[in-house]
Amino acid sequence: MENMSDLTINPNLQIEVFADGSLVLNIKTREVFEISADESWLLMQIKSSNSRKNIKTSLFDKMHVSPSRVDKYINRMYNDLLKKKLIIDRGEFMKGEYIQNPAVNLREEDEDGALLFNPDSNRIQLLNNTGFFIWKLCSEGKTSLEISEAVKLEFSDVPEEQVNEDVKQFLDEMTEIGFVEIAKTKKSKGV
Amino acid sequence: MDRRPLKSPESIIAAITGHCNLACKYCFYADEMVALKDLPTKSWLDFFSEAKEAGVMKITLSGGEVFARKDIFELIDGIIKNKMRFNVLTNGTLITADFARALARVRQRCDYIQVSVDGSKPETHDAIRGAGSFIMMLKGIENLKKHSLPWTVRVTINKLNVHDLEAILDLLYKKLELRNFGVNEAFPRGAGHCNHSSLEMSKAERRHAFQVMQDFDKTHPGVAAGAASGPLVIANLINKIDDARQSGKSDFSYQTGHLSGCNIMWKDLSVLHDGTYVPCHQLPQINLGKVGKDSLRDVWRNSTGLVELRKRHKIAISSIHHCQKCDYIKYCTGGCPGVAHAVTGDVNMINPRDCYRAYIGEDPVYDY
Repeated sequence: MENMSDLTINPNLQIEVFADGSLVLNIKTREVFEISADESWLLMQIKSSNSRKNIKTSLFDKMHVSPSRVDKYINRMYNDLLKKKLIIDRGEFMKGEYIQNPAVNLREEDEDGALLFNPDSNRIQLLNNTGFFIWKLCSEGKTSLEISEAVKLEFSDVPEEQVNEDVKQFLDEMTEIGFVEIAKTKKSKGV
Repeated sequence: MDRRPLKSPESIIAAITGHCNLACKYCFYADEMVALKDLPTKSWLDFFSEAKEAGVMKITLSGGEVFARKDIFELIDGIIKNKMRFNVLTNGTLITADFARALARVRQRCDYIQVSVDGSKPETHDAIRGAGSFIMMLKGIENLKKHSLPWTVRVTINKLNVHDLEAILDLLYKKLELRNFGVNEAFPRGAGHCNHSSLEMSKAERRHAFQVMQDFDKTHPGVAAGAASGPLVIANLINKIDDARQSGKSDFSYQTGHLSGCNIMWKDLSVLHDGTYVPCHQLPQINLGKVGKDSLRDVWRNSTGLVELRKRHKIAISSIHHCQKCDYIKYCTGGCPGVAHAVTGDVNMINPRDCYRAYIGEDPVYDY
């Protein structure tokens, strides 16, 4: 977690700050999280793009414990915030393979696209043809680049320069709402 | 344009057992239903797998008493494994601390556990559901609350508890701190049919129930909205018709004037505990096929019973002999076909209990 520039706050959060922590609502997934005062503070540091060094120094001044304990504490908080998807590690995001969330079920498909159901979040997602094509690619685990290339081949009418951006945005959203997951891979995919 | 059904039902209401530890006086799932044999575990698990393949999203488990089945958690795990969510309809008396703990494990996939509460005190509740059931039900609710499970309540109003309705609302809202529940009226089916004379509310009692529910709704908006029919829904409909008649204006949907009051045949499917597909547990006489023998998709799309029932919304109420001279057809959607059948013997008839003309005393036959 050394590269702080890869971390960004999830843009879909509404945060209510209290003295002993914050209540965070993800307006897309409708999930609500209670986070501690320190986690709330860390979230704000990431939001204002503060460097890891500065964050560490501030926390060291605040806690008066050894630097290694501060490091461990920060890492634990990062991991918690990542797990709750309150922050996003864009570096990992670019490197990872996208796979279907195994809990999601394909409810309907026809010539216009498909309808997915995520039983964990009780959410339905309607996909057009392109979205459904990408979703099917995710059954095998593919990087954003691999998916973009496959989309370019399949849908030749889409302006090529726009494909990468659109695919990335679609995968971003699908990951955010829990229909797609990012699997860390050891394979070099050359992204 | 013709209305088309969904490709598969959104949800399925599965009565997984005909057995029950209680013998409630109004239970529609009684009499001849109890004689049917429960499907074994494997058949239900195979069925859940088929439901997943069809794209079904939710299974509502009912009975009988759901927790009377020893394999209940195996069945719930089967639903979860097959990428669906679940709900439970229960009398609450068998929800022990262990059961609640086990339910908490699968909380994320559960929309609600609905407990039946029919009295504010043992004298009322037990008179309908059997001795000792009130205390056991409260213990069950306590266990659900302790594990922060999503629970709700259904109150079924009838002659034996209508006098207790205000106190029941008080119990739910104040003592149990429940913020969403439903209040319905006992159906004249199963045991409810056999005990009809002791359960059927008088006209004055029904009006009392309407008033109590409307008063509660005014001071606690939305809290008692968890029922698609019942006293509050009917009372609100009656008020709406009164207003429309006075003002001459109407914001009723285009579907009025036809038997369009029920949409279950367009989105849900039910299964009896022996595996018989039916459109709804209120319409058990319409046999659509059998689990394990007939494919779910085929039953949903092509079974004669469902195809015919889906034509119901095209039936003009003016074509029903009984309703031909009614002045209020333009406000009417006919109500629940299950009650219509139970009361009149005809599924393509209006439900007299939801009838405005019957309510204002102008119906030549029915007087509700």
